Amino acid sequence: MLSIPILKQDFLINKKAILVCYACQFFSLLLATVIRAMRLMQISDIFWDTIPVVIVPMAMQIVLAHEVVRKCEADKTMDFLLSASVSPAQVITTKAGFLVINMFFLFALSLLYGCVTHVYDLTGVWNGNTYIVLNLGGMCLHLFTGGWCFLISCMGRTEKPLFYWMAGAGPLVLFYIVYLTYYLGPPQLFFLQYITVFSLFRQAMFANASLAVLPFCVLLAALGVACFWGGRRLFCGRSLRI
Amino acid sequence: MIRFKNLTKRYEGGGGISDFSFEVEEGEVFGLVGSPGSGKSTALRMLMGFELPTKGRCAINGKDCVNMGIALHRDIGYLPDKIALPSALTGRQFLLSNAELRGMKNMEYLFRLAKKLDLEVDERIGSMTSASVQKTGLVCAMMHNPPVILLDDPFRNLDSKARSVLVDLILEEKEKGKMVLLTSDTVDIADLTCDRVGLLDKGNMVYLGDIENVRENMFRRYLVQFGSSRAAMEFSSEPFEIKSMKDRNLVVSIQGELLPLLRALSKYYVTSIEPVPLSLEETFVHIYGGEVYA
Repeated sequence: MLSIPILKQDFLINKKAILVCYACQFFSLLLATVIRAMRLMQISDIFWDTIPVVIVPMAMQIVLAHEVVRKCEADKTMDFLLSASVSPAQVITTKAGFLVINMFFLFALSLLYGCVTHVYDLTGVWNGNTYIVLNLGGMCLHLFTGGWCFLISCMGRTEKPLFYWMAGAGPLVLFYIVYLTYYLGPPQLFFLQYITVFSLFRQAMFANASLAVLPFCVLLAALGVACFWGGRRLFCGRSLRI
Repeated sequence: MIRFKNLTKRYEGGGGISDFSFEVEEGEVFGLVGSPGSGKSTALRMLMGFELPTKGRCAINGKDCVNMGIALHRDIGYLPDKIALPSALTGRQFLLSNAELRGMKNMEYLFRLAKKLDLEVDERIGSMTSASVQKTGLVCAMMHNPPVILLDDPFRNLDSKARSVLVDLILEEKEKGKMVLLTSDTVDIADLTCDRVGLLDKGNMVYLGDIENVRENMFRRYLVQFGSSRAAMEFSSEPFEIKSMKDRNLVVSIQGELLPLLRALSKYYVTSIEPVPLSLEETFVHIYGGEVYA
């Protein structure tokens, strides 16, 4: 069960960061509209593998996971929440819910904008199904990225933010760079696809909108849920008993 | 009643508290005094159920703090140490969201507390002074009028006016029969409000007793400025321990009551008297002579 006052408080605290991410996403979709209008197919292909589906949502998850758990503990807001007759399990589940809700709305708005403007137009013909599947895949990917950052954010009570940036955001960025190296690099680097989780989400694969993408979506979502669950366990284990 | 019974908490990297046993009665203000890292905050966090004990137990009104933690929180007001709070919110937004979380309907007491502490609630926390942030934390801890108040270093960052308001507030709560447990890193601060104190040294309670006893045994130093260096010279022959003397300034050390010093000084032309803070180590040595007898 989520706590509405905690959700409201987190929204008020992170309003600015959320608005910046939404603005970046909006501009990236505007850019996608321009790319489509200019029929720049090669760029369009790369574009949908980067800014609106991966980079902006991932940046949002990295920042918000830090703000809602790590920073909240460092500035002692968490102590006030935990002392207000709310179980730690409810506090941390609400924090996880906040991350998922924000990610969901970011993709919902992208989906709405894309469907209205027919922005995803790789083959010259608008296909709503492929765009919906692409966004669903993106959501599953960022259930994982958000879950990973959340897990690291819930680890330890170290006051230094460096741990979070090194262990939480660092590996995600590194894996994404590895994926881009494989994707944009020479064929000899094909093996890189096996060492990065981002290979589970390939825009070209999702663009076919076939059932073949379902296992990848399920795997990403399962990894994400496992990370959120692990974070919740860690938080409750080192704080009050559930 | 707050009760600690053989409570021990050890951390992997060292620190924590060792074998705490004491009680705080209703209508009593108890102070835990010790240097940073002596275990004051750990003791409070264990009462909140935020830390699990290695050994022993602590309870509030007969309810175990570990097993009944959440249920107990309704009756506890807790101020953590070294608060920063979210800079994006105003004081009002922060306080109201915590009040909503507690299910509070009536905000009258909250705003009365803020007014007493002279807190500008509509200011953004990010632009507040550290004193105002501390006041926001104090209001948040006490706004639901709890019968048990745990304040971790409540006087931190407060100016003398706010300190005196907080002393009044704590004494008012005491009058109402509430239990107040606070921490401080100086005996002087505890002396303002506490009935009893426990002195902590590296996780051990080295002294537990009435504040009067502490006061009687405690040494204090004052910087006295005389009207002339001759007066200062004459005063130096009085039966007081003179720590230093420079021109017309004297540092005098006294134990217990201040009255004999004031009587002696009344014969001289004195322009100012200022307390000179003692280090906690010096205070401890004066009070318990380095021997543990809690």
